Amino acid sequence: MKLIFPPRDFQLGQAMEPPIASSNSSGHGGNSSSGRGPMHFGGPSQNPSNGYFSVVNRNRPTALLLDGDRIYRMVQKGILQHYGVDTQNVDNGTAAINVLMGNSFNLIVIDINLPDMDGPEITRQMRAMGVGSKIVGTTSCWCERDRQAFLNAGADEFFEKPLSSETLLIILTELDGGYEA
Amino acid sequence: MERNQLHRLVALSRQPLFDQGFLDEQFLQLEELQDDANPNFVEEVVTLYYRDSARLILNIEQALERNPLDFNKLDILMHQFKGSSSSIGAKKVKAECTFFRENCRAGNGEGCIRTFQQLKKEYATLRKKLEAYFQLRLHAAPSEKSVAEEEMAGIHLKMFLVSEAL
Repeated sequence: MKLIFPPRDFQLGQAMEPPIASSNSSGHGGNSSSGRGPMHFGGPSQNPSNGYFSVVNRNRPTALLLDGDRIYRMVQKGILQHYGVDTQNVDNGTAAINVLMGNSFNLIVIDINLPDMDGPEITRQMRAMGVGSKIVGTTSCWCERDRQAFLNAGADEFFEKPLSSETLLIILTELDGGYEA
Repeated sequence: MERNQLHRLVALSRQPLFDQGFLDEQFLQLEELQDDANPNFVEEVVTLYYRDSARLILNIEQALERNPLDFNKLDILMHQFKGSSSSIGAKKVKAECTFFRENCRAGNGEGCIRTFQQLKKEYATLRKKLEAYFQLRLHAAPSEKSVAEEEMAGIHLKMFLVSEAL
């Protein structure tokens, strides 16, 4: 199986069509916490040859990784950062809530078992707070019951650990709608 | 022995670990993370894994001595152990973790004990093989070696390959 790793200086990009008549943009960076719509980073710029606008990520995407296992946190953070994702680790749900009080992330990865609460419960609390990040639930042993629990709590996806390079590419592409390796 | 040959032999020494099912592609992902800033990343992660998992193994052993067995607790402990093991690409260890959890969910205490014994064997075997591999990498690392030391490193590598082939 071929592993795909992007060059270290990749940029996530998204082509938007049709051309936008107005040139104003909110230009806000980072994720929108008001809803779970497409993420936009920086402002749009128009291609003069075809008139299409593209939104290029000028800020590195960010991720919060919640897992009780130090080894997994170390490895997954390394992999995410290799993909250009600024990643913060926490090892319990309470710490994650505290971090989210003052920060927003494009992606949140949550393990099913945390020392102080389970993954679906922390997901529920995050959504109740208005966190609009993409939330991915994880487990070391996939089962449908855990998947449903996460999705019912408001997670977007659920995967077995460790996240393969193909899975990460899909997740990161969905973050920005147009991943350029 | 020339440095290129040493590096080729180190790469060859790693292949049996994949062919024999001890490691999976996750280990390759770890190696991709090694660079000049983190030249020993894989060895550091593996060392940490064996350090942290020793405590988990002890906890599981203690939990298996209880009567009656708390299958829920055993399942949670093994969930964490499996997560760690899969993070470094420990394929056979990960498989035994899965069997263990199946026994937990079936409430099969004897099955749990049996699979745990097998898991510990795979865990110990992998440790020995990885230690040997990292030693070889150390021998092959660029340094101020004499010609005799380089030759000795090459001999160690060849002996390792022969022992893996048997």
